Amino acid sequence: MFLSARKKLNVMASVGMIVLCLLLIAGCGGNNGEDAAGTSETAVPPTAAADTKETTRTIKDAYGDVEVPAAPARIVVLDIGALDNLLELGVKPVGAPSILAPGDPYPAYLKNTEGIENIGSVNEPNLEAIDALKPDLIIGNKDTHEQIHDQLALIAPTIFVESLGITWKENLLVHAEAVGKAEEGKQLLEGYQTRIAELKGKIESKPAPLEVSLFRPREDKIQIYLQETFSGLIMSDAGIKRPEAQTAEGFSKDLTEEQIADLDGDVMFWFSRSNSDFEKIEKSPLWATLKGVQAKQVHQVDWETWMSGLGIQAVNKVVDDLFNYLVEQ
Amino acid sequence: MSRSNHRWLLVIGLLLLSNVILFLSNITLGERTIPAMEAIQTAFGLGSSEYSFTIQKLRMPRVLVGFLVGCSLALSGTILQGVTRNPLASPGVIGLNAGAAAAVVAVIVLLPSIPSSKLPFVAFGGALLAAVFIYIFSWRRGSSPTRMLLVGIGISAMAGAVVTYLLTLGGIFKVTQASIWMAGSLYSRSWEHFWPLLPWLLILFPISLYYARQLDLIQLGDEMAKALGLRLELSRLLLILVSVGLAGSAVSMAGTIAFVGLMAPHMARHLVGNRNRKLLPTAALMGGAIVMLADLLGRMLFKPYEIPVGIITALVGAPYMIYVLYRKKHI
Amino acid sequence: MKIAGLFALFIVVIIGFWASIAYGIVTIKLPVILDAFLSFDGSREHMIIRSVRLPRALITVMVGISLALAGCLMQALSRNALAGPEIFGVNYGAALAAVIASYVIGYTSLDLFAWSSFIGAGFVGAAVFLLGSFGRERLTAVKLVLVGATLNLLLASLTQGLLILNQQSLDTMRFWLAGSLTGRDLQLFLKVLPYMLIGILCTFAMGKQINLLSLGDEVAQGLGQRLFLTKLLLIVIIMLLTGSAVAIAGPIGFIGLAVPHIARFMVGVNYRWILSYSAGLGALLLLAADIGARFVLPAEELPAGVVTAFLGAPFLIYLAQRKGEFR
Repeated sequence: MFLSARKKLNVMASVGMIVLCLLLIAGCGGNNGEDAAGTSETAVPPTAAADTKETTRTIKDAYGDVEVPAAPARIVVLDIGALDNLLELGVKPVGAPSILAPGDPYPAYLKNTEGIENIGSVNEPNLEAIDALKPDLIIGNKDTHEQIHDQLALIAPTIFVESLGITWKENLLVHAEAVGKAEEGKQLLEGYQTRIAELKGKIESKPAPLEVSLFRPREDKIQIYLQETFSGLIMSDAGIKRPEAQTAEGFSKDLTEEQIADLDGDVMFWFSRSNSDFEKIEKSPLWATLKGVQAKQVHQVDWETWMSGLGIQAVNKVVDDLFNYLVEQ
Repeated sequence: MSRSNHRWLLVIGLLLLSNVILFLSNITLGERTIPAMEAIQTAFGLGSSEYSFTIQKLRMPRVLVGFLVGCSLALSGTILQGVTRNPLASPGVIGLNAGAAAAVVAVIVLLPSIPSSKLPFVAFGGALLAAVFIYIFSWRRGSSPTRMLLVGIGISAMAGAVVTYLLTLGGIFKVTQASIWMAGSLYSRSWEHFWPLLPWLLILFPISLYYARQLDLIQLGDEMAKALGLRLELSRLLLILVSVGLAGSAVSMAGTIAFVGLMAPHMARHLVGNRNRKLLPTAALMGGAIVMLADLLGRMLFKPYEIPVGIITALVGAPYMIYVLYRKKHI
Repeated sequence: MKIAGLFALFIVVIIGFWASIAYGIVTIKLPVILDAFLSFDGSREHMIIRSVRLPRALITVMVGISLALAGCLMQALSRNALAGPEIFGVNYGAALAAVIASYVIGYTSLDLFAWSSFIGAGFVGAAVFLLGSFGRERLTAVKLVLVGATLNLLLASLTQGLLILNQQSLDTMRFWLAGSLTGRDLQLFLKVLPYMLIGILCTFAMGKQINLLSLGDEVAQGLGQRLFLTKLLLIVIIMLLTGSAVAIAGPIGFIGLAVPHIARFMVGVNYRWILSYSAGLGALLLLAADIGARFVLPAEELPAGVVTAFLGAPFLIYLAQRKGEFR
C-alpha cells in the first residue's frame, strides 16, 4: 500500500548488496582458508623435516599417532603438569601458561622458569602468541584444550594427554617420550616407586596404622578429598589408611558442618587458597571434638603441590610432606 | 519519501564502510604485531607465509563469526521487538540465552564425555526448547506478546537457577569453561564455526525481509493487523521461529553475547525509523559492527588478558540502554 | 478472626522452626533437642543442635521475614504488583559489588560480600525510587519487570565477566550466588541482625503511612503526608532489609515477590495486616524451602535459593496470567 515500485527496487538492491558483500567476504575467507591449508601443509613439514634431518618419531596420544621431531627444540606446554615434568626432565619449554590470569608468575615450587615466554592462561592460551614462538612441539591435555586441538595441530605437532591429576604417571611417560627422554622419564617414575616403598615400609612398621584425613575447607562447606584425586592417589600408593568416609571412589565429597565427624583422622591434612575458610571451621565448637585436633595433628599443606600439583616435582613435594609429618614426627 | 530513502542509503553505505574498516582492523591488530599492509596482503593470500596462520586461521574466521553472530542477534532482536511491540524485548530478556546456557552447562557439567564440538547443537536445542515453552505457556486463546515476555522472564529465571545449581556441582575447570561460554566469547572460533553459521543467516535474513510488511502490520496492534487482513497467529509464529533460529544459531556458536539484540535494533530505529524493510538490514549491519568492535576492544584493551566479547557489549550496552530508558520515560 | 489467623500462623512457624532443627542428614528427636537447651552435655549431637541447626533455623526465619517485608514495601512504594527484591536485580547488584570489592581489595570472604550486599541493596533502593517517581505516569507492571530483567541481565553479565578474570573469587562466588542457608556464619549474622531488626520494627511502625501511600500520591498528599520524606524513609528501610538478607543468605528469590500476594489474598488491602501476615508467611515459606532443599537429593543439600527460584518462576507466570495484560 505504502510501497511504491521504486522503493521495492531500492530494497531489493540493498538486500542484493548486502548478500553480495557477505558472499564476497565469505568467499575471500573460504579461498584463503584453503590456500592457508595448502601453504601450511607444504610449509611446516619440510622445515620440520629439515631441522631434524628426517628423523621423526611417532607417538601415540589421546587423539592417535602423532609425528614429532626426534629432538624437539622449541616446545610450548599448555598446562602446569607438563611444565613441571619437562623442567624435571631438564627440558626448558619456550612457552608456558599461567594457572589463573595471563602473566601471573609460575608456581613457586618450580625452579628455573626464567625466560619462559608467557602464553596466556591455562584455560585460554593465546594462539597468536603460540604461533609467534614458532614451536616444533606443543603439549596439552584433552580435558582443558579439546576445543583448540585442531588449531594447535596446524601450528606444530601436538601431543595431548587425556587428563590431568590422577593420570600423572601416564602423563609423565608420555611427556618424557615426547621430548625424546623416555628413559629419564622411567627413571623418575622408578625413583618415586622406590621412595614410596620406603615410606610404605616405615608406615607399616608403626604399631598402629594412622588414619590420615585430607580435606579442603571452603566458604560454606568442607570438601573431603577421596581416592581419585592427585594427592589421594599418592597416599594410597603409600598404603596410607584413610578414614572410613574418605575411602569412597570419586574425587571429592561435600560435607556440611554437622557431618564434621567424617573429617576426623589421627593426622589431618588440609589445603586452601585462602586461610579465612579454615579459620571458620576452627572456630566451630565441633572442631575441638575431633581426635586429630585434640592430638594437635592438623597440618596445612601447600595447595600448589597437593591440590593443583600435576607433575613429578609436585609429587615429590607431597611425598616429602608425608615423610615429614607421618614418619619423622 | 525519497529524502528518507536517500538517508537510508546513506546510513547503509556508512555502516557497510565501517564494517569493512572494522573487519580490516580486526585482521591487522592483535597480540602479535603485524604490519598493516602485510596483514591485509596475507588476508587476501598474497603475503608471506610468516603470518598466514595467525591471519587466515585465527583472525579471519574469528572476525567473520563475530560479524555473522552480530547480524543474527540484531535481526532476532528487531523481529522480537516488532512482534511483542515492546522495545525492551530481546533474545536475552525472553530467555533464549538462558535456555541455551542451561543446556550447555548441563552437558559440560553432567556429561563431560560429550565432545565440545557438539556443544553448538546442545545450545541450539536449549534455545529452541525455551522458545517452545514460552510459546506454549503464554498461549491462552491466542498468543499474547505481553504474556510471552513475562513467561520468558519466568523461564529465564528458572533456567538461571538451573545454571547456578549446576555450577556448584562442577569441578572448577569445567565451571570456568562453562562461565567463559556463558559470557559470550569468540575465543578460538574457526572456519568450522563460520560455515555452519552462514546458511542460517543467508536463508533467514531474506525470509525476515519478506515478512517485513507483516511485521509492520503487527506493530499497528492486533485489531488493526487483523482488520488489514493479516493472519495474525500464523505470521507471529513464523516470525518468532525466524527470530529463534537466528538467535539460536548465534548463541550456539558464540555463547550468550549480551545486549546486541537489544541495542542494535534501537540504534537502527533511531537512524532509519520503524519501517522494517529498512530497519532490518540496518540493524543487521549495526549488530555486526558492534560485535566486531567489541571483540577488537576485548582483545586489545588489556593485553595479554582477553576480555570475552559479551562483557564488552554489556559494558557498552548498559549505559546505552539506561540512556534509552531515561529518554523514553514511558516505554 | 484475623487475630486468630495470625496466632495459627505463629504456631505453624514454630512447628516449622522445630522441623528445621530436627530434620537433616541426621534426624534428631524432640527430647534430645530439648535436652540440648535445658541440660547441655557437650555431646556432638547437642553441639550440632546448638551451633549448626539452631543458628540456621534462626537465620532462615529472619531472612524470610526481611525479604517478605521488603517485598511488601516495594510493592506499596511502586504501587506495582510485580515488584520484589529479585525482580530489581538486588542479587546481582550485590554480587557485582562484592566481586568488584574483592577485586580491589584482592581477597574474598563472606564478610566482604556481606558489606558489599548493602551497596547492592542501595542500588535497588535507588532503582525503586527512580522507577516509582518516573514522571506522572507510573510504569505498567510489565514494563517494570522488563526494566528489571534488563537490569539483571546487565549486572549478571558484568559479574560473570569479572569472575572469569579471577578464578579464585569465581570459586567463592558460585556458592554464594546459589543462595544457600548452609554454613552461614553466626558471627556475621549477629553483626547484621541489628540492621534487620531496625528494618523490621520501622516497617511495622510505618504501617499507617504505607497504607496511605498505597492509595496513590495525590490521595496521600491530600491527607497530609510528607511524601518525599516518607518515600525516602521507606527506601532506607528496604535497603536495610534486603541488604542484610542478601548479606547472610545470598540471593533468595520468590519470597519477596510472592508472600505479599498471598498475604493480600488472605487479609485484604490493609497494609497493617498484610505486613504481619507477610512476616509470618515469609518465615514459614523459607523454612519450608530450606527443609525441602535437604531432601531433594539424597545425602546432599540443594541450595535453598535454587528451590525458591523454581517456585518463584511459575508464580510469576501465574501472576502474569491472572492479571491479564497488566495494563
